[in-house]
Amino acid sequence: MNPFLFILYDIKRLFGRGKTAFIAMLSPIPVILMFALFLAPVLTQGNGAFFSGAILNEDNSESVDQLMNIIINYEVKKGNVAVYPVKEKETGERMVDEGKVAVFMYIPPDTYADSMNGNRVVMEFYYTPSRAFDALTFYTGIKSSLSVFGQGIRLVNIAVGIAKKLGLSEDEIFRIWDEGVLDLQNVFIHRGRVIGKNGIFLFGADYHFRFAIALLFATCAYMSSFPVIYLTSLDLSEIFNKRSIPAKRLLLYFIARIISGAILILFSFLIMFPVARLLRQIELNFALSVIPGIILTSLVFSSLAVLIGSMFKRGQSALWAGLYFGTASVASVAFLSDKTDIPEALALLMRISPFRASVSIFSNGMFNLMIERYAFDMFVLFSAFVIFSAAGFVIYMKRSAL
Amino acid sequence: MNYFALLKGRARALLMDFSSLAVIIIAVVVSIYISKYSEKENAKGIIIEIVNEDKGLLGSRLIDILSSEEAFKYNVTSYDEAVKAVAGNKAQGIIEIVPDFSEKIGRSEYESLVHITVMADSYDMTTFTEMVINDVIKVWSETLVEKRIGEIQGVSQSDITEFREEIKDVWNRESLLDIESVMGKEEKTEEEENYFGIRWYAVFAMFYLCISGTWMCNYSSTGLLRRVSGRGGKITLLFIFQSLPGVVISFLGFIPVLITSGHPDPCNVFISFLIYICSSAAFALIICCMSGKFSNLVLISPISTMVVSLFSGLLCELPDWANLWGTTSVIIPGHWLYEAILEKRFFLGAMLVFACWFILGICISWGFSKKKIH
Repeated sequence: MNPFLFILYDIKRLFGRGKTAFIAMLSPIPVILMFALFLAPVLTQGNGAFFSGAILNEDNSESVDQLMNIIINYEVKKGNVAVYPVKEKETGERMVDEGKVAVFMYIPPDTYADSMNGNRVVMEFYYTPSRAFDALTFYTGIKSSLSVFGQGIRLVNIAVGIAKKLGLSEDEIFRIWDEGVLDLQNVFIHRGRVIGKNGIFLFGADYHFRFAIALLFATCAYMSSFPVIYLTSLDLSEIFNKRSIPAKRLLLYFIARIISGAILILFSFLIMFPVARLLRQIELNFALSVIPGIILTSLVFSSLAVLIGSMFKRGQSALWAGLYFGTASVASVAFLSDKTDIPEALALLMRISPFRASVSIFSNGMFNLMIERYAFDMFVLFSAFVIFSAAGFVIYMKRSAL
Repeated sequence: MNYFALLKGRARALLMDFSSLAVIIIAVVVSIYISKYSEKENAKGIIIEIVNEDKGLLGSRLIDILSSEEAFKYNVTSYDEAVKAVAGNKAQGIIEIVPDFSEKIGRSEYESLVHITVMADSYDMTTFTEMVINDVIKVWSETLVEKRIGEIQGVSQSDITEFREEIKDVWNRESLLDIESVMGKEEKTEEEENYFGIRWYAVFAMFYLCISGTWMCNYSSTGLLRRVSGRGGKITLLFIFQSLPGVVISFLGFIPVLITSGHPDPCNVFISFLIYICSSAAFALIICCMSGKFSNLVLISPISTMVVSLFSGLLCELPDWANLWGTTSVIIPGHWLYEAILEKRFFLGAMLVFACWFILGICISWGFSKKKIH
């Protein structure tokens, strides 16, 4: 029999009437829906802005006005924010409550004067619960940078203290003051440039999305291997156990199963690129670099499924084993992969985990390719594929009635 | 038809089958953990490699400031070692301080003072880049102000030393400019207590009922269904007696979860969960019938459980704009459990939904059993 026909025959068996492949392809959708719950307003907003906001600046000082103009104009130009100035605090809050804007920022009177006199000033960031997810991402950025700006004012205060101690004239002290604050403003508006990027806020705000998407697709891919586990176990206990099959032909069956399983698993990756593209611009070379990762991941999960399926006599037991192994792998990557205070043996297992390597390829390779990590992850996947295949075939042979 | 024998056999099978029982045991443990979970956990433990190539002194000052950040652990190392650590998943990021870092800051140049490599291996990396930028800004601000002090007429070296001493502490002090977040009015009351322990246990319980419904699938179900139908047995009674052990086990597991959750109205939640779990059993019946094969069931169960739990609000809060989903979720059992958890009216709606799912389940299983017989 032609080896190609072997694979085709196995695909037919594995895919049933296409139902299993269809389910595998659709499996990531529910979790994507969960993301959509939070991201839909961002993705569907007509004007393309990250979000719209209202602002009330009750501080009439030139410095604050200038600073806010610099921040807002930049973000407006970039298309991140659409800003509507309001005249009363209540109007801004009402606009948020009525869903007309996502956030409202309030700058209280004497913000500049109070902070320059060493008094703490607290501004308000009012946001709608339905936009909590992205509003709070923006808030975290603005809070930390404003906080550093505020602490910088303390430095200027120390300089002014020294100037006063040296008995400088009031004009001179004001000059030091103004120049110091101007320096801080200058630093503040160029904060992104220190890492070679444009913009003021929202650097790295999408890392958790990247990680979550990668985890989601790797999980769905793993789940798609369940039919492979079940069918392998069933084959070995029923067909191969009763009939003597030569080793060469058995190897052909084995390879055909791994390939057909990998093809089934590949279905679960079909919608990964459109989803990633929807969330973020991905460069073509990065996207292409992920394709070998997808193929290798599919082969690894397929060979693992064949190994698990070969280990258990009952298909149901093999499936339970696959389910628990998958759950443990997903949980460890989700909660442990970045932890260092875990036992060394566990840390090592995490490093060589094919599931982690797969997640890492998608979360890093697709958006920001670091070639050394990519190579290491591919090596882990390839090694896992070889080990799982070799171990799988040994058990496969032992279980069959050779 | 001896339905009690079926019940006894099913109960024995469930209790003896540790693999499926483990789902409910894990669910109880995880749910209790969630009830007691403190949200104070932070990103401690993530390792960042620092490569200091700066020829001046400011690179070291940046390392000092970075080291005072509690969220991450830092290793100062060479570039090659840093790349090796990140590539081998021993570290999650690299901060590379450029050779002319001090020189550039001295000249008030701000372009690319540090290079950052971030691996998106954790949710906590989101704050990393902002933190590094802020710390570079701190070094830059210190230098700028020191430069201004140096320009003051009559300033001595001791004044500059005094300034350097004073700024050591300045970044640990409260900022003079702060911003507070205030959430809009609509959902404040709901945010106070979310009872995720109860809600997620309900999700796990539904998954358990779906996954343990193997008696409906090919390798056993057709046999059982065919036998019962062939002997004139009633599918309704078969379903009730077969589902009962799973329902009881899920229900027993719920008791410690409810006790540890500290819900103010446990009686109502108890009743609503009872109705919910019965409705879930009917839902599981439909899922099992439609799956056909056990391998499909294992694939469909987590997906369908996630979908219905998501739309009913059990998995996470539905945002305001998703009103349509919120309204349509009244047909899902979880919606009414969610209402009960939030101390709203639930009984009539929950009973109606249960009746609908039960009838639907019976009809579908009857249809499937007929199809199998033919």
